[in-house]
Amino acid sequence: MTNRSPLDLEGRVAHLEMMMDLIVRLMSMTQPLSHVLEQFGATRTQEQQMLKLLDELVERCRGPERGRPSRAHFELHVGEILPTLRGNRDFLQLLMDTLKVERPAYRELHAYMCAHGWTAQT
Amino acid sequence: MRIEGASLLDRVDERLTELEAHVAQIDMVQQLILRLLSIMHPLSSALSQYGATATQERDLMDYLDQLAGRVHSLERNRPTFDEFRMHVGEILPALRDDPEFLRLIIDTLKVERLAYRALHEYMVGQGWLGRIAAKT
Repeated sequence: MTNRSPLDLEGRVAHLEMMMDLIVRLMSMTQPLSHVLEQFGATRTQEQQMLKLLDELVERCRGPERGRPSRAHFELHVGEILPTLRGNRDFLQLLMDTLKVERPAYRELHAYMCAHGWTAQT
Repeated sequence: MRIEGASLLDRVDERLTELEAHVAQIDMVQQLILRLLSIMHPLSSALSQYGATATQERDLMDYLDQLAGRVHSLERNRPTFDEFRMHVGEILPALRDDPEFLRLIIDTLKVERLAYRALHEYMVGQGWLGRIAAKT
């Protein structure tokens, strides 16, 4: 049986966090969102449209309160871009989760979604 | 003194709760990364890195599919390490007896599609990773 002190535990958790941050940074360079969209059958055009939508959302999140996006708006547009996936809760959840390990701008959008309870609604 | 003692215990409790929350967060991100990795065809990337042709990749995938199917069959039909090593060597002769390559295949199955994860658990459970070390 090992006899570890609380400081060991602190150190191990800090090390795990550091490694996880590194992995998230590396993962963000592999364009995980593209892989998710490809996996769900999106065409290149649909992928481009989705990225454009996300870029618009990022801009609006940074802008004035009245222009900030809502989840309903997001779902509506995702459904317009990918009609076959309209109402697919698993896809929507994975799409939002993946933003957490995407480029920094999308991580900001993910934080906005979490802060506004979007991810808890699926 | 008892109040100080209780306060210290409270702080330890608080810190433990914080650490648990950190670990839960790490666990959640890890699950997400594993899910994302599995759709990026990691085995295909690993084989390509080792110089496998498209035909060799397909042959190996076919063989792994066959192994995955046999994991839950009758005891006598279940895959063995020696058979696995021999077949991988037949498909990729240049990598025959390369322990790092065999280990990488087995490790990569853990983050591959769901069907291969059960095969990975079987391989680990049967001590195949230890057998690789023993053979080198």
